[in-house]
Amino acid sequence: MSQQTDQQTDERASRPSTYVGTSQRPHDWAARTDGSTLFAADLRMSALRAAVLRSPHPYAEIVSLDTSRA
Amino acid sequence: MHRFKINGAQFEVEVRGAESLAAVLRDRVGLTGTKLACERGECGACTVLIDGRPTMSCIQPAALVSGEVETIEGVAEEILDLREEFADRGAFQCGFCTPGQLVRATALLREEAARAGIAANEVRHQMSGNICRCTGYQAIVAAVVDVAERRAGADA
Repeated sequence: MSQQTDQQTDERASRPSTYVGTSQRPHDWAARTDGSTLFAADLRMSALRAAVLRSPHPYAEIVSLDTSRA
Repeated sequence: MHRFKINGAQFEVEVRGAESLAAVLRDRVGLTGTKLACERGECGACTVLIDGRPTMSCIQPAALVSGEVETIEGVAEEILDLREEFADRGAFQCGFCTPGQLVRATALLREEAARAGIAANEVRHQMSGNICRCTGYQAIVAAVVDVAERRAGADA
């Protein structure tokens, strides 16, 4: 980091809000840089086949799932 | 049975035909930090080290591997400084290409760390086989240059 950035960070850190206006690492940076973050292809599911059932509603509470076609 | 040495441990795997090293690492050994994307040696997401040499594990037949394999899980501790620099600079967003980028950079830093740093255009050239669709590369290159410089300074 440059000196200027360090100074800015110090000034901001002394104010009440320590997050707004300062650079933050992603909260899961460690997992995402050591290979432990699981992407879809990394998941081990105990299933021979899987299908995606998408919601017909953009915003709703899931009351039940109709899996009759599966 | 094929014997593998991976991240310092021994594994015995029944390799099927032309199965790739990436498939063995991910599906048999359970090391899913090595990613598969293009599956034809173009994108670098599957980069691992074999006897220290960066290799695209998706096009490397597992049955032909006799050297020591290192994956992101194995090198993560060695490059903690680079991982922190990646995080501080925003050198990843989705993070899918990141293990490959970091493994490739590990080889670079092992070579360059003993010297006086490395120029940005050299990092660009050396890491041109690792594709990232999120970041535009600037932060990745800057992170590697910075860490190489810091390590060279610390050794001097």
